[in-house]
Amino acid sequence: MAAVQETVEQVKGLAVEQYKYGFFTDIESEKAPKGLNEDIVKFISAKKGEPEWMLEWRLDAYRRWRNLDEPSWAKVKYPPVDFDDLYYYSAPKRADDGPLSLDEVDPELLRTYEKLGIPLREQEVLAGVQGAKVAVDAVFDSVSVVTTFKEELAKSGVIFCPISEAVQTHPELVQKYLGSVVPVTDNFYATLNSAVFSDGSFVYIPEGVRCPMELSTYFRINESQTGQFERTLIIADKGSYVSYLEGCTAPMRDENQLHAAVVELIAHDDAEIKYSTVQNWYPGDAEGVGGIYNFVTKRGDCRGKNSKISWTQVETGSAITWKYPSCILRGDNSRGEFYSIAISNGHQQIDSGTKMIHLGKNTSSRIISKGVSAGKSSNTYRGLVSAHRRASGARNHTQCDSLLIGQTCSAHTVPYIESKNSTAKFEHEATTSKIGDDQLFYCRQRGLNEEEAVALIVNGFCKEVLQQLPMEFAVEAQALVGISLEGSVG
Amino acid sequence: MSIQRSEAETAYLEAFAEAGEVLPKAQWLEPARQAARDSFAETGLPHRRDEAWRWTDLRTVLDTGFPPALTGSQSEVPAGVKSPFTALDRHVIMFVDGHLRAELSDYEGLCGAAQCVCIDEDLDDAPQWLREKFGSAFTDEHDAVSALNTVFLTGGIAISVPAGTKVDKPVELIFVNTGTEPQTLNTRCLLVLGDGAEITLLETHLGVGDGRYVANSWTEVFLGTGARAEHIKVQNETASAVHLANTHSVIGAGATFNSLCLSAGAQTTRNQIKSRLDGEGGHVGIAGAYMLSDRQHCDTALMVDHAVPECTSGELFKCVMDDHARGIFQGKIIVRPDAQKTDGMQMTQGLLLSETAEFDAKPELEIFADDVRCTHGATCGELDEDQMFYLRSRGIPADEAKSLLIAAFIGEAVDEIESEEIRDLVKAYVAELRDGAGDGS
Amino acid sequence: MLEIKNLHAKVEDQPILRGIDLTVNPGEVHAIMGPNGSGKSTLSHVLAGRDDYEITEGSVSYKGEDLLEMEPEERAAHGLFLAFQYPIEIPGVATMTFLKTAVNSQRKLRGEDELATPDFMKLVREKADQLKVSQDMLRRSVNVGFSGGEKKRAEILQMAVLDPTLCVLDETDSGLDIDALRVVADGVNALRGPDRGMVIITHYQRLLNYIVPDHVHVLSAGKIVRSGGKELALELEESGYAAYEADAA
Repeated sequence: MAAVQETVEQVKGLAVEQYKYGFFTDIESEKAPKGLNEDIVKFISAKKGEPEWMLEWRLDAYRRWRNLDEPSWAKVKYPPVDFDDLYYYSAPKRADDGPLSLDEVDPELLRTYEKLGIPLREQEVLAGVQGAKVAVDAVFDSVSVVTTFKEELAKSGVIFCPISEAVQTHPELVQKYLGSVVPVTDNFYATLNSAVFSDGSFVYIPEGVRCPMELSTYFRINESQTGQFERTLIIADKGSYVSYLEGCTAPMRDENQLHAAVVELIAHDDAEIKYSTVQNWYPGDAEGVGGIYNFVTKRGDCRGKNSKISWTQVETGSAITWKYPSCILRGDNSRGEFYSIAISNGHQQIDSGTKMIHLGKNTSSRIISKGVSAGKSSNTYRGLVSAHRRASGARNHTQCDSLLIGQTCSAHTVPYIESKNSTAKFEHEATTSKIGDDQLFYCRQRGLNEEEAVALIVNGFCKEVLQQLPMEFAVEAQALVGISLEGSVG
Repeated sequence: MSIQRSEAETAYLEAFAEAGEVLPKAQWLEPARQAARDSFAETGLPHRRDEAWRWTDLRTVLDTGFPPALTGSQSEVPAGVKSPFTALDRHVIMFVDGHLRAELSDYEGLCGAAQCVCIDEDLDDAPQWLREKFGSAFTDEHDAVSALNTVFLTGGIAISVPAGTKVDKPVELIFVNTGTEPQTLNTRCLLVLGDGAEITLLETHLGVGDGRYVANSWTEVFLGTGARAEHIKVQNETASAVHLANTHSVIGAGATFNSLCLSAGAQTTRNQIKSRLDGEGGHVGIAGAYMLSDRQHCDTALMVDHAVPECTSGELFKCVMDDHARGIFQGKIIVRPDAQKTDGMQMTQGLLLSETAEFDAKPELEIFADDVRCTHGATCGELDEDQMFYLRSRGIPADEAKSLLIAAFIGEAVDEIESEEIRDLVKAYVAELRDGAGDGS
Repeated sequence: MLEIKNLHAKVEDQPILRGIDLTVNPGEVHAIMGPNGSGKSTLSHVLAGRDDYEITEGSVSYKGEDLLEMEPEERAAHGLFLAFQYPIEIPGVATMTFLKTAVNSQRKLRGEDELATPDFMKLVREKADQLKVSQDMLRRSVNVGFSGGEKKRAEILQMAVLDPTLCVLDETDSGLDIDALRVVADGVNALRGPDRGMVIITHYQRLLNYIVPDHVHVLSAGKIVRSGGKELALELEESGYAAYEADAA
């Protein structure tokens, strides 16, 4: 008891303001007027020079959205969001005509990404700053500012570009797949996103192609009172493979900012998509003021036989996280995976988990969720595993572990299990525990200080999930786990 | 705001008006009845949009009105309707169609050791303990099942066991429902145990023939410091019946409450089990078993509330579903901010014997204290192939191997009963029910 | 009593057994040795009637009857016993209950009267004492919470109580320390007799120091590639399976 208490006290002394991505880039930007109405939707569409069908799609979503209510079932509490007091479009000036070549990008922007540790200059990457090549789509507030390695990717037929560009250059693919996994009316935030999404990434991997490098998108919210509504669409055609990484940060502000993204993945026969997220939006300060509201809809459709979709997430940021990356296991023998680390501290509230919908025969899924709550935070795992009548031979194994640090936080587990097929076999296990005094003592006896000991133990607790991350992200994520607890417990 | 009321809701609301004339009279009970009326008028019957009812739509189940059974019935109890505990030396309190039948009961011996108050009498003179505890275990929310019971209550028993008294033999409450006409039977049992008191309470619900009715029963158990109670409920209503039940317990310091609920009968069953650990060192054990076939539907909503430190709880539910049956288990363990050193364990297992059977589970943990050890597990599947093969390789035919495995599966829940004698009687009853079912698979 | 001819079996389109020939006469003890993945365990499961395997060719006759036509429980009633490499845990079924059900099911299938409870208890106690199986183990659920050694002893106890005519022991020595091995081997040796055949499947020669076989066969890639006397086992201990694995490839 005593050792944990000391740790909590000591760590409390460190300010939450240690959030190291909390700076603001002073760059002139162009915004749409505040608030949301049909004119704003038309404004966004016009800014992107979109075809008529795209505008109609948005307007339809907007009209439906007006009749929807915000969901209230999640274990999160926040004052009502005033959707009329937000900017729905903000772009750095000059960047509003779509991504430029790197030479044309505002140097201030480049410095921003440098500070964030995101290499946008291909030659820097080649110079060996990082071990492996990673293509980056950098999204700044509402627009994509640059996408790297496009030409090299194009050689193998891979399309990697901002979604606004794809609407122009590959309308047939966008029309075919957009909204096919997350329908326009799926939920309140997804519908809002469908109306006002401004940018995001589009990926198409052709049949039989193994994407030659990791693809990544880096999201940055900069402007104040601005919502970010990105839209990502990834299609892996038959027998292809892609690994995709996503990272997010925002400046420290004492207001709450809204981020409502939609991600859709489609895996055809024998294709595999690996989607990894390190989410480190600004979590708010020690008193719970400010921070991002992260209301995200992510869903993958294992449409073809033997297809596989794997979600890995490290959620350390945001004031509120509402996010359930899911898999629809439609194709026979398809597989879904969800590996999650969710660390909450300060006044953060996380309600996150997954859905594994078994539709096809012999489909399998695996869920490993590691929740760490500290400070005054609340951390909820919410998940659904279901087998439909036809899903014979479905298999799921779920492991859900919660770790509590200190007496003022809470951890919740809300799994739903629905089996309509007798040959389906589901197993769910969950545990809740705290860091043992004996573990801490043992580490300290070996010379670690308490913070190091806590970080070490938590990293051990999360190991099964950390191992799932691509190398490029694993090291960063591991450090982030330590930093989150260092700076934010209490 | 206009409310679309279902036929059943309207019928219940109309019946409220007449009910006051015939029900047990008690001024002190009126505020609770009024609150229940108001709450029902406002929310009506639950349906799937209520999270707690996401798998059971009571509006559909109660599609026609089942008028409350306000006047006593003198129906005979057919010889074939037999409690599984007949062979046991016990006190018997018998209810037929929601009304206590003194001539069929035998509990004089109990009245020497404990105070027994029959609930269908005039309750204006009810003793203080009854007024205080009646319906008080969980008052935080009104739900339709509790509201209907509170308003239409026609029969029941309240038993107070004084401190230090160990009731000499088990007490069995038998609820026989003849279903001669479609009606709602609302009964109540209140058990208050003084410090160190001990009792074994058996609760048997039996239906006659294929009568169609709604049985709404509510059992409340309060355990004083160091008290011990074992509660075994066997439910075998008719195949057309609806069984709605509240089982509430409040457990004092160092007290132990151990229970088993076997759900075998009824078309639709809803068990609402709530338990609060109210004093340090308390323990609650809740076991459940389902034996469902045809189109039976059984939904248990369980909540264990660790309100104070150093308590332990364990729940084990074993659910067997055959044919088109559907089993549902929703279990929540809450650990309040002060409830350090809590040890909570929950396990639910569904066994599907046919392709069209279904199992849904929602095992929840809600933890607000850090120094706790809580686990839950849930599994669902068919009979284990390896086990089947192992048994057959030893010469046991497939049918018998299957029966053995099912009995063992259910038996794990039954084994949670402490009394060996009662355990054996329940196991024998389980075997009898399975044989009776003719092993239709 | 057992005659396996040109037996081929596959699992999920993967051929495992590719033409096994083996004859076991009453009183004989045969050891089947081979590298991992050679098909040893598959052979034992096919003999006992596990339905995950598809027999594509060949025949198995047992006491003149077609073994492959029988259900697993019929094979057991005809006197075939498989000691599992990984005995299955059955929570909720007491070992004693399990044994009694098995004994009486087999007797029923053979058209014999059921064994009276006192006689049965006496029989089990006697065998249990010989195999150092405690009363407590008999009360516990089948194999649940048993150590590796306890599981194997319980298998041999079942074998002794069920009194089979053909015993197939699948890697019975795996996971046993030297003392446990001796107890198990003594149990098996006590069951050797002129009317009973035994097939001992093992990876290591060690067990054969205690249960001395009459014949030793080497299984590789689903076929018996060499047969000999007990000295073949010692030779394998010296040279290993490398030569046979090369054959397989």
